[in-house]
Amino acid sequence: MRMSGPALRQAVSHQAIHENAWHEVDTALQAAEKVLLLGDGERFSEVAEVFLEVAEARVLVHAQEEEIGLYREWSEHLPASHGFIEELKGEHRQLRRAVLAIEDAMVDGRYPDAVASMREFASALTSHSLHEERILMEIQVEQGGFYR
Amino acid sequence: MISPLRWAFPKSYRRLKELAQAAGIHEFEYRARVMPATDGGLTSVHIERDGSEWVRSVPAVDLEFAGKESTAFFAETVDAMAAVGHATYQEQMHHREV
Repeated sequence: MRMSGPALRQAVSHQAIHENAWHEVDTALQAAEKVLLLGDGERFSEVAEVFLEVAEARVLVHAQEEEIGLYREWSEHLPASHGFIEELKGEHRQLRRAVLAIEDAMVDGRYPDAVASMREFASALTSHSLHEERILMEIQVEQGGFYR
Repeated sequence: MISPLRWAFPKSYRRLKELAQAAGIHEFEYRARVMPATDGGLTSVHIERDGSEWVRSVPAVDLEFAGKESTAFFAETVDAMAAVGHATYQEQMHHREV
């Protein structure tokens, strides 16, 4: 089984990873919103690509690491974790769907739809991060930071 | 006008992404751009990673369907990108050791 690093297991360091990712996503979203208003299609095309790079590099890769590392550890050591792991994986799927929707909108040149999907991604990211941090904190309090 | 390959030719982008992923290279580690070439029907494809760039002119219709010429260029570029990445890693390790 692949083990996750301590940064993913600990609530505070995991929260810092989420905050960094959120900051980059929010910055890219604000840039996209601004350029959309300016009506510069070429520039918007570049900004949308940056948004997806951030979403993929900072969020989807992190989600994948959680699924193959942290969630498997929880599943192994915490028998009651099945329900919330499925919820968290469902939220990851929502993030992946939003990325695909941005891609589809960009290919069709539907820029306002792309921004709407970026907002949906950002909103889903916020609620998922809060949900996961609450679970991490509960596990840390109940388990003292270690699995038994 | 330079455009991301991702929006301009989605099938070709997916082919490049598949080849890169198979070589262990994430999609956010490189940038692929296209620019209409001056001679009719050809599109200039630019792929960049870590300051290195690979460029080839490919017929737009081939890019549209991720055809033979595009796929061959992507495969060669992915091999080269992997070599660049490997060299960068070796260099980092060397500096760390030094």
